[in-house]
Amino acid sequence: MAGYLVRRTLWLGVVLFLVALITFVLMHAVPGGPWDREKTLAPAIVANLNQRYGLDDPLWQQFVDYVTRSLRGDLGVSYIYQDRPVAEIISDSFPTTAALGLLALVFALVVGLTLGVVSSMRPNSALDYVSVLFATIGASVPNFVVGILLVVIFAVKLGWLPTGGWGDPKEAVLPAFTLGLLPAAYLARITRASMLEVLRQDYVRLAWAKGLPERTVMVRHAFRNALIPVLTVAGPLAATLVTGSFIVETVFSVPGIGRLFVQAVFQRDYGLIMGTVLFYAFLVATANFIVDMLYAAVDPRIRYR
Amino acid sequence: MLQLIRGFATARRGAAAQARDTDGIERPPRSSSLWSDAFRRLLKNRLAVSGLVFIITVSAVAILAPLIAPYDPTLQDYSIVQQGPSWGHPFGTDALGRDQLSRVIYGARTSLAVGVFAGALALSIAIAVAALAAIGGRLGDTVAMRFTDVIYAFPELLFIILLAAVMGSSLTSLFFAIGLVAWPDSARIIRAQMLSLQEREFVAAAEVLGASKKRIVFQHMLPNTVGPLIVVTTFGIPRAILAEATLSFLGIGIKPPTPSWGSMVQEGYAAVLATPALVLFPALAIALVMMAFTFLGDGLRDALDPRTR
Repeated sequence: MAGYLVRRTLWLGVVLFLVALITFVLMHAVPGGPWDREKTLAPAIVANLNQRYGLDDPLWQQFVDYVTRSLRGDLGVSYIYQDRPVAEIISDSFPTTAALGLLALVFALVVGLTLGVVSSMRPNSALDYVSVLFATIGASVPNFVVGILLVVIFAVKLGWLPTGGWGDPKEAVLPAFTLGLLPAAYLARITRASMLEVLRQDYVRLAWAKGLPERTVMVRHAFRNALIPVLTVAGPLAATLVTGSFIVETVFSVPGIGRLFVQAVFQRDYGLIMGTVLFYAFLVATANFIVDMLYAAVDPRIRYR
Repeated sequence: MLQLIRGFATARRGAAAQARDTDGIERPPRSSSLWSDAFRRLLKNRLAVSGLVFIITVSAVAILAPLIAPYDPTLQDYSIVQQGPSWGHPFGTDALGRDQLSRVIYGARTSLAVGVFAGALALSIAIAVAALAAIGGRLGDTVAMRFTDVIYAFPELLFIILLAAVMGSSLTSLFFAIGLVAWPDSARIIRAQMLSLQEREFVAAAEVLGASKKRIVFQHMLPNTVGPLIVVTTFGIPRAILAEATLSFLGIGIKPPTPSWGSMVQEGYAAVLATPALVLFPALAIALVMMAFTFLGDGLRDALDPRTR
């Protein structure tokens, strides 16, 4: 177990290093730099700025500097946000992204698991069809389309909810639903599939034969075991929540990291791009790591060596 | 995704087995080839058939766009700026007075082109990586799959956005940006399939007969992965379409004036309070195409899995 943990952590380091390298190369291959404005700056000023931010060093040197500094937790400064440290910008906007993500996750878990279990209890009933249809539609319609259709219905036509913003609980309803819909649909599909598989097992048949009430059979004997395959999608789902966040945040003007990244790409803010990409990669990798650990905790048959 | 696909397939299998149990009759196995059998099963799935019909219709619309579209999609008419649906312009007109129906029709070209070409590129990379893993022995497998892991660890859309920013916003660079990123899932599925084929008798037989590793992989194993490949492709095309629409929605995709559903949604969204219809039709177009591919993909997966018989 300890060996496994060490290897996983080392691998995480390797992945983050490669992600940093790829991003760095791509970023500097983008035509244009952070000083491209509508009004061209004097060459002397540009040279000055480049020197100040170390942009006149050879590229490999810039990369080595970046990596050594980021190991100390210094992610550099943002060029567009007046020299604010990138680490500070990220830690300022992360709570918003995290809150939105958690709301979406809770929504997805409650709706997805409930629908999955309910439809597996009565396969091929009308209720089952409705929930399978919901899951299929939810899994295939892109989140910005969902978000915009919701805005058209609930904000423009009915006027019940605001079109965007962040702070008021009312403003969180549409973004959280939009972000949570895809995970909810995936969870519903996989839970239903997994429940149907488990319900055919001998131990469930035995539970029925013992005359246990439906509730006990479903919850204690079936659902618990059905959760194991459900966990396998938890990793990819975390990634969906993360990547979904920058579209949903853009649609609903939520001031989180996702919107920050999109703006940073537009403005060639090197420091901010690197910081957000690494942060996202770290989040996704950590989520996968936690999922693998949970996996071992839920299923005693799995042991990591 | 991988687990999702497998999990769903096993569930369907379970349902089929149950149906046979209640029937109580043991039928002799029918003699029919995998393909005709799969096709028959596909036709029985109404959702899959309607998805297929819809995709064929959209493809026809895309190919025949110049004949069908009532207006030139780039023609600007400042006397009819930003209008809701009317008889002359059933989907309304955008902020530059362009006919939205014509733009939705031409947008199908952009979407399908990206879907097909980026999907094909992703599939080729996936096959190449999986083949390397299969041919290259232990070392080849480790290198190929670790490489896949790294690309997989990179949040997909983030990577595509960066690549698109690097390569510019022409249609070709979008093919590459999306194709170069969207292959790890498929590579894993194909490799898994190949690993299981390696244990089969016909592969052992080919080995005993002295066939080269390359020959075994390309002549004996790859043809046997066609089933999963078809399913992977059916899910890969809408992913590429979605990526293009998302990029264009964020403003990093296709450059105007080329019509793209994603950028139409973005432009329409700016005026959503005044004319919601402008955002509605391109949004529905994306949603319907994505749903059609999902229905078809689900149906194909169930039909091509011989164990669901």
